Amino acid sequence: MSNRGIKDDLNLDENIKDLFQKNMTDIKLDNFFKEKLIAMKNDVKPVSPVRAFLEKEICIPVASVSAAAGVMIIVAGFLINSLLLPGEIPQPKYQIIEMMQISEAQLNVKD
Amino acid sequence: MTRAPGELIKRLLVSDETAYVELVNTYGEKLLHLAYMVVGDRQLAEDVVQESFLALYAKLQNFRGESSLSTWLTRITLNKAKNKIRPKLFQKIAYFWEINATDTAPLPQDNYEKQEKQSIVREIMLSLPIKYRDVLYLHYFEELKIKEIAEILDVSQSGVKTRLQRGRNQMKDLLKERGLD
Repeated sequence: MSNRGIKDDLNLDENIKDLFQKNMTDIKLDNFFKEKLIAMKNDVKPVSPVRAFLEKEICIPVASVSAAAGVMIIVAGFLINSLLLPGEIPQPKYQIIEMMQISEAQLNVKD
Repeated sequence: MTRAPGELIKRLLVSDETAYVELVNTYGEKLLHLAYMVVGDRQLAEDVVQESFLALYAKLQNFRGESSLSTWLTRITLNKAKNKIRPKLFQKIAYFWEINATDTAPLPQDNYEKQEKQSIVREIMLSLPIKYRDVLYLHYFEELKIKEIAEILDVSQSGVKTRLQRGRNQMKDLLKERGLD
């Protein structure tokens, strides 16, 4: 690479650095925000061992596990409902007619 | 007095109040800069930093120390910042209905030039694709090594070098376009 090329490259590096510096000039961490960040430690609830295991070892976010569990409970509810609590079984019509005929016959006998 | 990062973790684990102050003093502004570089908005950047610290506090007990605290925090902040700017369905709808309320009051002359320069700088930054912007930022502003950047971004070292080169070229073109080269 020529001397001019190297100089251009160095200039570009300086320009990029300078650009980032300028972009961050006004971005400072004020004391109020610092205190807020420190105080946030009190808002955090400790992670349960089960959750830690699921998130760290198996890489499953717990939020998705609870959502999946909710869906599974609903589906299981529908299945159990259809298996254990069947609706009223319709009576065959001929059986009703037969019963009516029997009762009519009994009335006739009494008469 | 500067102490080893491993020791800071130990002190955080026993809820040493001074350790939390040291943590925020050491990493707070650094992470705010990083988040601002990605999202381009002060308020959003502060939200990202808060979320990152919350994540650290919540997972401190399980921190294994496989990567340094700095690397871990940088990675988490970067991912959260990128998530913030990822377009979401509801955000798209909100943009559709958004009313652009701009302040039309004239700016004082002395502030005008400064604001103008700042906006040009921000415009250049934000016009660079995020995959080059974060690499350039970590290399030039944070002055991290290629190996460290690769660990933060979870890409190979050659991948970082390629992005760095392409990012530099794009930045060169952007600076040339605006007569800042």
